[in-house]
Amino acid sequence: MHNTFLFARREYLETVRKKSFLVMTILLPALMFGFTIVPSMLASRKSGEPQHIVIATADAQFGANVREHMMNPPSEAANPATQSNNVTTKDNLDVQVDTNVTPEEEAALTAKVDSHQIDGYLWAPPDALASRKLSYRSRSASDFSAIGDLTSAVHDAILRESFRKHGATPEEISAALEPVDVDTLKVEKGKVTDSGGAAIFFTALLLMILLYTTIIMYGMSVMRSVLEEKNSRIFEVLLSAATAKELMAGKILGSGAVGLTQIAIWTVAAATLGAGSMISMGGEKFHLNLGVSNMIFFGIFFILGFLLYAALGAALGSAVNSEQEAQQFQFVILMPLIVSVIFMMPVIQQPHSTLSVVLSLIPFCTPLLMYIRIVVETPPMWQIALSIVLLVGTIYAMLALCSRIYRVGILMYGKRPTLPEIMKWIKYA
Amino acid sequence: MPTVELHQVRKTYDKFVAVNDLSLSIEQGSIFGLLGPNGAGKTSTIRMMIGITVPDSGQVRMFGEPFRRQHLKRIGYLPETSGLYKKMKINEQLVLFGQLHGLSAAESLRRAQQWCERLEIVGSFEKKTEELSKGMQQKIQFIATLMHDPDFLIMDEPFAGLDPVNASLLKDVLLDLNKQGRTILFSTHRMDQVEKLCDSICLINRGQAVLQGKLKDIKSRYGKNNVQIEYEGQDDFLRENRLVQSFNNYGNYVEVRMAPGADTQSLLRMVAERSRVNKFELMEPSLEDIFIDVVGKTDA
Repeated sequence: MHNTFLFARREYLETVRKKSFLVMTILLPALMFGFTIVPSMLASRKSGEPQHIVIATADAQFGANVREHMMNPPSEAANPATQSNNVTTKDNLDVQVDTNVTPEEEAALTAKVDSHQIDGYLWAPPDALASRKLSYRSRSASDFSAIGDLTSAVHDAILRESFRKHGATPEEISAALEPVDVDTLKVEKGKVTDSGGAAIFFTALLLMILLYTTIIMYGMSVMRSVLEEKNSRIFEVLLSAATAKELMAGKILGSGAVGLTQIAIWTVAAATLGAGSMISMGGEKFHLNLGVSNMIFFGIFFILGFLLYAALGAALGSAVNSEQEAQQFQFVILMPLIVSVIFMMPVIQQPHSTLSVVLSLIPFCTPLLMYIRIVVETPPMWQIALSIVLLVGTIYAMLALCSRIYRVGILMYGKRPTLPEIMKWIKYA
Repeated sequence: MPTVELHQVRKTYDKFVAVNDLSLSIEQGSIFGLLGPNGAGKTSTIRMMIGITVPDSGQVRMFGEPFRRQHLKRIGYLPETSGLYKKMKINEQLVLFGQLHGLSAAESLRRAQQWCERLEIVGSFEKKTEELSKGMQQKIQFIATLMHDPDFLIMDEPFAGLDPVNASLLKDVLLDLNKQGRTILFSTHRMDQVEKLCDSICLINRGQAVLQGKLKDIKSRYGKNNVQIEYEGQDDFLRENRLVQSFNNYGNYVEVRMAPGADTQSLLRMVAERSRVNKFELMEPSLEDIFIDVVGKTDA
């Protein structure tokens, strides 16, 4: 036990002092920020560029309605979280109504688009309005969000006109056209919680990225560390004082402590910076309120997953002789992770299907898939408990396995082991 | 009571027999040489001695008892190639090795400092292994072996990579420890390096002991039938089969092993006939000569 602690501490200190640890600690959240927040920020900035649009229609009232809807869209005005962005956006939008719909005017407007005087125009002569087939002409025909805004504005204007003809007051019309907002809420232990679909997907994604990157990073790092000891023959000195099992357990626990440190740093940093405010900038409303129990499960599965893959890395490092060889076998570590990622969506959609239950009980998939099931729809307690027991058991078995491979593997350096040989090593020693 | 006894110890890797029913005994307080060419099975033998591997058959006894892991606290092992963490500081490394052998951190640090002073490497105490020269690393490794003041020292090629000054520094430390009653095992293929140090030897080749016993007895058994000759002139006397069994030409001089029953005086006369003799000396055979002789016989 004492030796295991010494090895764990050594492994921990060496890893934490490495530059790669610092890089990982800073870079990973930065990357996640980059992947989730920056694109939506860029998207909203794009619509913020000045736009000059002309609505060509013989019906002045229709033109005014479309213009009004585009300048002040009611659906977005109803969302307080994003209102501040949109005010500036619509300030940059200049919509003019042109009641001249002669073919000459059409040619003139086309020329204006071509010469950059306007960005585009909606061509809505009476016959087109009657058949409800309008066209928007601009230099770039692929601005889907502009088309979407325009379509809803035109639809809204037509509805208003139709209501007005039936004698409804402007207040009645506005009330009837009030947008509808459907929120997804989760029922947990008989109570309605406010963690919705987007939040589930987001946290699942978050965990996946965290687990995936850290496992690749530190699983490989444990593997390299085992390799280093083998190749420099440190093992001869170490094994003349301690057992292979103590050494391996120390390595795996040490890197587990590294993983723990890493999420501790992230948690503290996120709490200080206020993750909530960062997320709301994304333009979509995320409830990151996971609840204490989910946070605890996150910790448990993160650490156990980490330990399992560290043990797998250690076993791999014991079996090979050089980093080049190790790279050829990296898929052994990556495969179960990739399988977990592939099955993430089916599990999110049907957390109680047989497939989901079976997959989440396979130890190599448990860290990711069982956690997702817990977040999406809490499975029966016995399943959670069973998955944790299986996971811990597998970690211990991996430890026993890799210390055996290590003990025999070190004696065979210079020669790449075949799979039957590795099987023999496991029985031996 | 012998410190180490191997009894019919055998180790095979796949079909390759690394150690073939080897028996040997190392007396307490002696300096023992485990000698043999590369790949003879020296390191495999040592590994079984300290429980890194388990013999397929045979018995290992340490300090008079069947080997147990607890014995490791009394054994210091210096491996053949560097066994240090490259990116770890020397002081941390030595403290770790001390602690692994059951010392406290403070005591380990104190001993590490003492040894670094004695081996004149205090300056590298705070450095990482990779910043040190090979000779320095070897000294650190040496200290790591001695941290827990073991009763039995196993030195696998201890002087490899050391200049003569440092080799002699380490040799003096080892002789000093031997005087205090420590048992030392040298494992090397450089027989000339340990020839002067060892009381007893075991020569192994292809996993088998080909010669063992007290060095004095072995040498006297082989007698003084080697001649070292320094000469100027022709060397056709070397091909005189009646007198010369084998020879080893070192450039400045030649070492001749006499044919059985041949008279050294006839050889001297023969050399003097054709060449100018500067030196003609009767010698004890070197271990290397003995080894070549023995191995030549067993291989034939």
